[in-house]
Amino acid sequence: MRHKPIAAIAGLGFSELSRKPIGTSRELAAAAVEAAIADAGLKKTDIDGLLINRSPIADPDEVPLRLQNDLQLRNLGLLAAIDSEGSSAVQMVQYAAMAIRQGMAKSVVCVFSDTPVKASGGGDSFAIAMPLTGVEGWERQQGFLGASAAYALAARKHMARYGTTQHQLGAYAVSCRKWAALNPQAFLRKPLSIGDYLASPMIVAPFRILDCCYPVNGAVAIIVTSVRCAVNGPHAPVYIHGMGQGHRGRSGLHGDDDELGSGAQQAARMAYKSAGVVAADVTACQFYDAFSYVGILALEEYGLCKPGEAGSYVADGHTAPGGTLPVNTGGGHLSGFYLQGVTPLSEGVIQVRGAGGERQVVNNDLLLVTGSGGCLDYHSCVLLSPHAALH
Amino acid sequence: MQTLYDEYDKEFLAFVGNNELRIPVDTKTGKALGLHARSWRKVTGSTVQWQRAKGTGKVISYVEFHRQYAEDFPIPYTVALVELAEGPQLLARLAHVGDDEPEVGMAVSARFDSKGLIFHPFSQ
Repeated sequence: MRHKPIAAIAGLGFSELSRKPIGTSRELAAAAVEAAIADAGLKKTDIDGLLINRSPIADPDEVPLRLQNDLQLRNLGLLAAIDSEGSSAVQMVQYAAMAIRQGMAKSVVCVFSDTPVKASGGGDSFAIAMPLTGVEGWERQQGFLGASAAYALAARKHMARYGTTQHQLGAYAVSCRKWAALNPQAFLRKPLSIGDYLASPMIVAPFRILDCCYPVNGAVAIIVTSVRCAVNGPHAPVYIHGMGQGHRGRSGLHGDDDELGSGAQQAARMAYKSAGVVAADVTACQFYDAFSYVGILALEEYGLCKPGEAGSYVADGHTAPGGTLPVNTGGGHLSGFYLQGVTPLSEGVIQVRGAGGERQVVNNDLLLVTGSGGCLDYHSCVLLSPHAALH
Repeated sequence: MQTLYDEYDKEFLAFVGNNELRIPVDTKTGKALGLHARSWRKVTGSTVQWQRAKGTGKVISYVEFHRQYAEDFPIPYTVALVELAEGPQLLARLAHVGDDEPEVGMAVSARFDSKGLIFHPFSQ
């Protein structure tokens, strides 16, 4: 035996997920927490930690700390909102695991909730000016609007440097759709060919609409407990073996650094070291892939492909059902649903539990789950396993 | 979301409003700082000052907008990430000239129009 887990995930709960308005983020958060507590076989009095991840584009009051009162959680020894954009969901699990390891809490519920899809649709919620240059208001003045533009800019650099192609971006979207077809919870399940992809509307070149995530309204909650507590729960424990973060900011825009090397590399090194494993030990991945390119880049940044080789790796089918390294087995952000960091996290829990149904991966020994925020600024990851000991 | 400007932002935007592209330069070393490196402004004894940039550079990356997000930006239009001759990188609109398609590595020069800074392809 080489390694003992840090903590374990014992509960997973979803609110209703929808492309229509179904309630406030606060209401949906409460519903997800209730579901997670029930899933873990716990009572509210067992919960002594609450961590909240709010959407960075939503008003903080949409999911206030007062959620505690909505849920009648009266025994909290840990309460915080984690504000690191798309890396926050994974960070919540990390901080919960550390608090439990230190004896500060025993059962921590981590919740993300968002309602970006209004009656008028979903896309405009993300038509924000991402502050890339360092001068507030500059991007708006230049018409550089939408998160898709920021990521498309990074993708074009990768394409210019390594020859990554539009077909390879499309292959990633097609791979995710194949997984989504096997997932009853996924929102986009209709078969997708590379021809369909290439015929889809361009949004911000090089990104087509099918390179972009599919936002939904909803909430997901996860309960982190001690290993001892998880073993006594109704589900097989999901052990947390490795954790890492890396934050380099917008390094590429300083003119003295390389944007293509993000903090994900640092997060990967830390996680692999803490679990006593190497990248080659990872058997499946759940990436934060708000855009097709992000999934391709993650394969390289987390050491699963050499720089510049992930595009062809994906195009060769390695990440699709039946491939050597299943990636985003619920359909991910592109075809499953976009609820920021809890999309990959929830699918990671489902796969480690062996509850993936038709999409269950053959080898769930070690899953890499990532979070990514800003525009490749903030990174976090965890390594999950059904095994209490990694050999 | 509300944009919170501080004096640093206002100064840079005012330069552009006066058809000037200025960047922070450490007068002691002659090194230009990226626009992200804003901490110098309130440092006592800082040797960094805004200085006029040459206005030339090369395209590092670019995107073409095919979806309209704002009324004052009709599609299609192109925004490029440009590495200035002094080193720092800056996002700005890239003008289409004739049938030329934008390319990574393309030489550009800064000009100004009613929306502010815009890069044009530049024949060296």
